[in-house]
Amino acid sequence: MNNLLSLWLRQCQREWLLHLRQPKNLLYAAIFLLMVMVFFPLTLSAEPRLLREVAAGLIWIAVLLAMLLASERLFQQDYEDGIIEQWLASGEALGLIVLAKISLHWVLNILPILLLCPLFALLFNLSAYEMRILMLSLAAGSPAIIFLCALAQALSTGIKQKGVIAALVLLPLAIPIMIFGSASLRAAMQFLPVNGYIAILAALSVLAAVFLPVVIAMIIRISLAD
Amino acid sequence: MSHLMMGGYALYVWSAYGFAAAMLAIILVTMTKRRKQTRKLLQQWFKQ
Amino acid sequence: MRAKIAFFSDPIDTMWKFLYYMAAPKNFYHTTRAWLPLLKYGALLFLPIGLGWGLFFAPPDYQQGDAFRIIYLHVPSAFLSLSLYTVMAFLSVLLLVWRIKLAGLMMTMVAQMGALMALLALITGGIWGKPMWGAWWVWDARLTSELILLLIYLAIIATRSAFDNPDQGDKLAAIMVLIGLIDLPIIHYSVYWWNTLHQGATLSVFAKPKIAAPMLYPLLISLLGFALYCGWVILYKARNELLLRERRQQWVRDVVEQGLV
Repeated sequence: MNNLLSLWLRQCQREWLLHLRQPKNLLYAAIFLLMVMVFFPLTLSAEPRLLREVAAGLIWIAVLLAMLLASERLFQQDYEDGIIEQWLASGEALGLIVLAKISLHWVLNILPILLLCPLFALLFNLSAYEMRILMLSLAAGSPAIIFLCALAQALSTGIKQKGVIAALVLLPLAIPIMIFGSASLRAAMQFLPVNGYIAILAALSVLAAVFLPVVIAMIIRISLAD
Repeated sequence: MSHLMMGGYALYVWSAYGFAAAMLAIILVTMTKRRKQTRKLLQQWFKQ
Repeated sequence: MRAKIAFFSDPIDTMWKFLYYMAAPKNFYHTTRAWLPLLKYGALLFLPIGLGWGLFFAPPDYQQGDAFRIIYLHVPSAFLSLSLYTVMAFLSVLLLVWRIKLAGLMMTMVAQMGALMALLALITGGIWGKPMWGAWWVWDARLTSELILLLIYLAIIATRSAFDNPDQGDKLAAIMVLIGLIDLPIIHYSVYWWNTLHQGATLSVFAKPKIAAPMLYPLLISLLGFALYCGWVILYKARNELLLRERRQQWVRDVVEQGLV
């Protein structure tokens, strides 16, 4: 048990340092998110009522895409540096390593997104209450999204058309999160209770966090069998 | 004749059935073609 | 007591022995040769009978008139798109747990057929919807669910084809299948729930009507016909791929030389 704990802490520390030494990457996802959100009023219409109607769906779609882009770095660098092979050779609990990596990635990536929420509220005419619900739902549902992104990235490490395959794999699987995530904001707009939605999002996140690291470890083993 | 007209819904019924028939037929054609290709390929491969 | 246990374990034993026997490519190839004509003629028999009966001899529907005859295409294809997924899931387990490579190969073929069935279900569903609801596409819960199923099939096929190494590709696609399997009920539930927000109390046009006997029998027959057809195509293509994959083996050389390809 001690072994696992120290492995966990070591990996978290490693990921923390990795991210801190390349701080720009955290911003890229946030900037992408911002750009996409600006695109929508430009391509749809600037009418406040319409923007409020579509805000829920648009924000969640944009967050999904931003997280997909941000997760490209999850395994690619380590794969190229041969770190993943060392993990396999070391015989340590790969699932735990993966969990540490993704958890830290989530913590560091969700922060810029949450910080942008006030700006989104401004752009799309959301009230303070709606903004809070948005942030809460994003915090509850984004772990599930990130684990699915990691799954998609693991599947596509080391093949030619990475980005497309990862997107094809991610999008259908992420549908429940998207449905309930955007529904929570729409419910907030109508002053309906949101507890149920947040609970479902949190449940999906827990499910993903528990099961997907093991699956991702399996995928990594198969991908690097040669 | 009334059967062909399908009570006025002829366009819909026949286009649906037509698409299905075309799809099923194309599947059969491609699978037999691939089989022939495979046979040729293997025969060549084994001649060496 | 021992005799009783032996009695029960015998059929299970022979089943496992059969499975392991069939897992060997050579045995599979030679044994299934006899199955092909059964599937082929079964399909060629039941499909025309079922569809012909449904098209010309079943009585027209009280509400939908003759347009309801599309049901004989839509229901079998939708049903098969789902049941083929469970077949894929079963094959995935065979591949990942029992390491039967043949199962991986068959899974790829099943995925292709399943995707085509989902496509057929969607297109016939859309065509059926036009005279009934005036639109080629409605965001009906069942159609939307079927569309997402098609997308998952496509993701599985894309995953498989992204890898040149067939063993690797099969295994990773198999993992995708199982993840999709777990996610499908969640997706299904969330789509149905989402749909209630939009439809309210409106009945789905694809709600199963109380189907009368003279309409049911052709449905069952065409379902059987479609199932046999799918089985035929999957087996045919799987045998073909097997020859290609195993071409370095002596038995393949024998097969080609004896003209049994």
